[in-house]
Amino acid sequence: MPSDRAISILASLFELDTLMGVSKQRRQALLRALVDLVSEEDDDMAQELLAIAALHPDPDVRAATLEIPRSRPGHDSNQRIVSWAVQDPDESVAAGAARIAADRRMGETTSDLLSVTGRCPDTVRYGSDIPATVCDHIQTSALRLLIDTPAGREALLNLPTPLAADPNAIVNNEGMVHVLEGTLDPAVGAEHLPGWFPNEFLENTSPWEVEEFWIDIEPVTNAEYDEFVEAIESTGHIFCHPDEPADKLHRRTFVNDERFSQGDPVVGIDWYDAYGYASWKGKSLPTEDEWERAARGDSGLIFPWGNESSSDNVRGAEATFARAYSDRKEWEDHMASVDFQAIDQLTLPAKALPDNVSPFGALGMSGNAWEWTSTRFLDRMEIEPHFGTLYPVETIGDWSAYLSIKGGSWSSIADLLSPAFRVKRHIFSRSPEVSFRCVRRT
Amino acid sequence: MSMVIPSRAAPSFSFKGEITEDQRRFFEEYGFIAFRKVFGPDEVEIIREEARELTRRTLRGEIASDKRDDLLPPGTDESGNPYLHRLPYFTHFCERSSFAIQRGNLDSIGFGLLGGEAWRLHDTMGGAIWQLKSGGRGSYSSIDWHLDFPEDHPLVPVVSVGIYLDDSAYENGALVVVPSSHRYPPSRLPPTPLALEARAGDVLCHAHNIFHSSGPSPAGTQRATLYLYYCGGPYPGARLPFAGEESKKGIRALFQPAAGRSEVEHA
Repeated sequence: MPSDRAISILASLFELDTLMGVSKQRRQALLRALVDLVSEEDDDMAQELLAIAALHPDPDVRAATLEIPRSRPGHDSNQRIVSWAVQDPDESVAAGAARIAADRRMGETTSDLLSVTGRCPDTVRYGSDIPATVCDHIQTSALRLLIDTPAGREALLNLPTPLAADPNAIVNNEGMVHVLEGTLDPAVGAEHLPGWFPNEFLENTSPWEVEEFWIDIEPVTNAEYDEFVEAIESTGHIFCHPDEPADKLHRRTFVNDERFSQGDPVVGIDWYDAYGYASWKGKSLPTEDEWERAARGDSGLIFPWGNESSSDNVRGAEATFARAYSDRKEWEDHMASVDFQAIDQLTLPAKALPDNVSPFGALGMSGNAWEWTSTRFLDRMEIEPHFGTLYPVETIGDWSAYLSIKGGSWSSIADLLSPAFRVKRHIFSRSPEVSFRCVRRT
Repeated sequence: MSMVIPSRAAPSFSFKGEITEDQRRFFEEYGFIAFRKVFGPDEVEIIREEARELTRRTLRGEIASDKRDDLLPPGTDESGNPYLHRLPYFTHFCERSSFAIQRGNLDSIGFGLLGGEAWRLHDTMGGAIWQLKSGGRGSYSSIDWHLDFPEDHPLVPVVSVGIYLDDSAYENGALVVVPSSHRYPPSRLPPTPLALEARAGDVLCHAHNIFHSSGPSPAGTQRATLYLYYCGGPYPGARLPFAGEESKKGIRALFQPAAGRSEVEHA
């Protein structure tokens, strides 16, 4: 059971969050009580209070945690406190932490300091950077001391190198196919479309040159995506889009739905989820042009395998529901009555339909699940997400929140299954019918 | 002068005599629609010629005061010659243009987009308006964000059908809209605008309550458009003024001069 003292301090920390109406004396008394408690007690509650204080919105509270390493040199939490504080964006906190790290020769703080100063050992040694503030001086001076410690020397040797910056990095295009540069003319072959849906947009779309790139042979699977979700639990959201909502959960919908097997294309993910995965893999989401070119080949086939539709090659509505539809209305009426829970199987592994292959070798670009692109639907420009501070419902009327998705899904019919077709999807939308694959640009 | 217009932009459509279901649905959703190459060069030139002639007649005082524009003062071109920014009742005075509009079946665009009972503004409230935008001295350069008609206006719903007589690119002050703003209130973030670029002969239509503006025009450039207005409200009667005097003040304020000038100058 937490002590009354701990509970009182916890309540006070929340009170301080408002920054209003707390006198200086009371604030100081609260912080002293916090420091005393954490210094003297080592239970879970004390550690929890320490974490709350170290990440508190009020920089005075965060700075107060530095009293613990100052007054208790051997305290178990000192390294953790200093490592947090040395990376604090507020200089009143960061400078104090750097000074403590230097005074106590806390070599394990070297990595944290380097992450703040830019990870450039030469700058540290030769002082080639220009310090703008006193904090800069303190940090540089601390680094110069710390890199002479054993832990500091090791930190210098183990500086992380981004893939793009490492000339020795081996770019792994395993599982991808190469799409050469060429022309995409969306209007080519439009006469072969079944014609169940209006396709006037194709007439007025101009040809476009697409540069070469690599594209995943198959859509990302549930298994692969789940690895990403697990990984970010330890790395945090460092690969995710900076605009994604602060509390974004990336776990896919349907993770407990056994109908979606591990080898199936991942669904139940929104655009930010897809972006995060692609970034984590060192890849990107394809533009609509890239996706379509990869699916249609140089000659602009209306389906990946040719210009004739084929229900044998594709996981569309006819395959999913084992029936044919005579016209669009019949299909629409049926879809409106479908009980999602009663469908035995929805998606399939891409390999299950080997003839559903594009001229460039990409599998499954027709049917099964639609695929996200990075192209804004209305004007075919790259999406510029700026919605992270809004609730999704507030963005429904914003045309710039809609992206092109391509390829059709297990509920699609006719023209929708052609890679030439395009429909839109809201950036926050999660669907059992939308997946994605990645590209890497050379 | 032909402007470079990027080929990747908002979807555009072809007009083949009547509005299709897909086109109407697009207009309903986004509040605008663009039709490419509705008029050929010859027809565009007819409208331009008649605009020049009507300008001359107006400047000579041959047009009755209640059929002349009193919203914007005349501008002056580089040779010192006056020109007009707006020519109301255009189809009333310009027979050949009127015939070209009929021949092109343009009325079915307005009626088709509105749906139901509708009529075209011709002999009242300004009728069809030819409008010139120029970055020159004594002219306005941009039009501030606005809605064409408030919801309580007697004419609404209204579709503005603009026949472009010059190329219009973002660089010379193209029409800029916020798609779907006619259906959704603004959110907490600034809306994302979309520039609608066009070539001479294209037709751009927008709903009366879509949020729109046009960007600044560089000095030495002009672009003209003939606007037809299709209305779903009841016909208000002939020979009514464009707007009340108070309303005109607000409308004038939308027309913004080029940078460095505090107001649209009188020539």
